[in-house]
Amino acid sequence: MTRTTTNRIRRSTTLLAAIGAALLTAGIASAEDAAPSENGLELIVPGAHQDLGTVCHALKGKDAQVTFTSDAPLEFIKGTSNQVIGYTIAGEGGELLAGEFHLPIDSLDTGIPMRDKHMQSARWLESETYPNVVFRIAETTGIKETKSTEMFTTYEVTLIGDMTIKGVTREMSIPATITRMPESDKTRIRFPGDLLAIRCSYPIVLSDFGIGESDPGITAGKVSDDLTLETRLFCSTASPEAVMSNR
Amino acid sequence: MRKLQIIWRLGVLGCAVLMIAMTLVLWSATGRAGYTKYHDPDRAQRDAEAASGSIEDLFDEAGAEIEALPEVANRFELGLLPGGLDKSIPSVLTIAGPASLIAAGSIFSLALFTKRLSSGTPKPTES
Repeated sequence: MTRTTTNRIRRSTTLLAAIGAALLTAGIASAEDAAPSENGLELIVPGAHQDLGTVCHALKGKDAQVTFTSDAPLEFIKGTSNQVIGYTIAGEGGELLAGEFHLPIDSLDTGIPMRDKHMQSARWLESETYPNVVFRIAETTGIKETKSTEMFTTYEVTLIGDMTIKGVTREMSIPATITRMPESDKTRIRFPGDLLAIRCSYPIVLSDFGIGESDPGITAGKVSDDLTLETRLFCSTASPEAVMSNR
Repeated sequence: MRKLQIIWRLGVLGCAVLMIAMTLVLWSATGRAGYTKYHDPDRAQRDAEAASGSIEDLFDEAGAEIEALPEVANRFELGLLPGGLDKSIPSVLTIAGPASLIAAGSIFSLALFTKRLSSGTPKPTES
């Protein structure tokens, strides 16, 4: 084999390795969670998503809320959080093209501090290792306009996306109601930006995410394997910081 | 003297039963919860803030009814079991449990006392 051939093989191998590494890194990057901003009020929208459509940020605090319910034979548990952050990319009408929402486990409040601590422990949601429940919107199907006025339009849709709980990801189809309210003189004085409300209710099976499988809490009927999650998120095209300062 | 002893034992039994009954009434009246929990003033304040000037009002005023989330009760609830080892320790179990033991003890000692009376056996005394 001549020196030139050897060099060519070396170059090709290096090039292939570089391409492989780049693809692998891209793959990992796409599976990674979006990072929260410095002020913790929003998620930094990846560049690939920014170009897809209109970015709407979830408004944390007063208006972002999730409620979960566990209706087990021995105990009824209800918990809530108003610390959801995230964004969605709104397309035409009721279409949500992409998005990601983070629900911090430690923000879930059941009214009993000891129970909250149990929920955060490794036995259940292991918040130290998996601090957030993450939902990534991949696409919207079955868009149907149900109500329209001068100020807003409401759509019934199905959100298709990936739910990640305790490091386990499952694809989910969530029926949702989306209401879009474009910015107007009436809305601007109270909340800046185009507004968007997402309301949905859906079941979550804990064992699908490897949580509480054959746990005495579930087998004894204190915690239900089937939870109901109710979500009501308000989003704005203005940054959450701008909305907060306007309140 | 014997009459007084019976009255005393019956009194203890009555108080214990009353305590159990009151605990169950309180448990029932405060929502029949599994675990004891208290009203959280911080959450109440957050809820009050959320109720005023919420973005939801804007949608409501425009006629877009965004269904509210089910409310999570923020009030004192006496549970069957303690909600923790802090102020949440009072519960049906921790209040009515000792009262049940006292009631059971009273019934047992009453039974023993009346049996002794009917058989005419004097109370064993230390020699």
